[in-house]
Amino acid sequence: MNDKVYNKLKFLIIFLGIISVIILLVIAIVCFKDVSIIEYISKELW
Amino acid sequence: MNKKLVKQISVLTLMALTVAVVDTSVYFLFTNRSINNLSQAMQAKSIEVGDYIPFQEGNKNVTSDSGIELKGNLPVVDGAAALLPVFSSFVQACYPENSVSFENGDFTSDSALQFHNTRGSYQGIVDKTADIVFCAKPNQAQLDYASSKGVELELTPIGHEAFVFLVNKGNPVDNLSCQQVKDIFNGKYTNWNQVGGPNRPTNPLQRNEGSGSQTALENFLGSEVKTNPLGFIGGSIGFSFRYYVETVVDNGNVKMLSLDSYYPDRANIRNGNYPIINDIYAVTRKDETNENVDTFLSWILSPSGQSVIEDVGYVGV
Repeated sequence: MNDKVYNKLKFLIIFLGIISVIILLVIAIVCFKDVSIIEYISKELW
Repeated sequence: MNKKLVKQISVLTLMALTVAVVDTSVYFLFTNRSINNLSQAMQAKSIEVGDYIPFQEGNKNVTSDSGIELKGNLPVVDGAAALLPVFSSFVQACYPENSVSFENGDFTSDSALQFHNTRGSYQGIVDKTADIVFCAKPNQAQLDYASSKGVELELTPIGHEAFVFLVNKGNPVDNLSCQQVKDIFNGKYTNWNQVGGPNRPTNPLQRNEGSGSQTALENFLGSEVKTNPLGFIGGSIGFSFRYYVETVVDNGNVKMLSLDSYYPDRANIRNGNYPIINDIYAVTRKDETNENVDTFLSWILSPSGQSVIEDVGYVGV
């Protein structure tokens, strides 16, 4: 694998990683205020 | 395969795995726990209204022979989600069959039975779109709204109910004192290990202003809730009413806490041992002139009406 392809793949993974986290956080923040208490508690990991 | 290629593939694989782990963590810590309570799906989850349509075959209402059938100017009935099984059974017992109409998942505007939950019901009784509503105690804003419209509300206790605190089933804490609960909600305790639990931040939750259980929480605490900045990675504590948790929602992943060593069951409500017992009310306007309201209320307080409350699962007065 030449360095150009390697660097592009690294950039792509980092870019997709950041975008996916932002999307997940936006979904969480947008919906956060309307949370249902019982559903929220039931989905906690213990 | 040369060494350089192996190293490059290893680095890329490690990076991809790191991204996957971070995404999964974010999903389970934040996204998965956030639910839009105002969405159609969540409204439906609040209570399955379709299960409690009076006179409908196979409904979950309690059947009772009240010996009365209201006629003429029928009072419009509304109330809280947790009390829908009660007031729908009342309507079934005392109203004529053609008085209730339910279409496309909602009661029609000419139906004598409506369902707008606590906030909508208190607005309805003041705006005169409802004549008798079944709810927990109103909050100050709801009383102020009534005053601003020149309406005086009359609250008639028709039953008792436990105000309960909830945690995830995996939380090892089963019992708290009332003071411990207050100290979790007012921010004095910020970790479950301060009340006998594991080393994990507490996460006191709140509901919408004006909801029945939020008002009950404010009355119990007597102070504002202080949220824990680390709560989002912690273990939550929420609140509701016993019947709603046990019967309407019946979510196997949450459990009700004992308070001062008393579990919130009907026996401990009846004998008064459970420390936070709230009245449930039939709320009317003081200047109400519709005689059917008095007839309906009198029946609700009679042994026949009280047996409906008991049969649904509440504790009568």
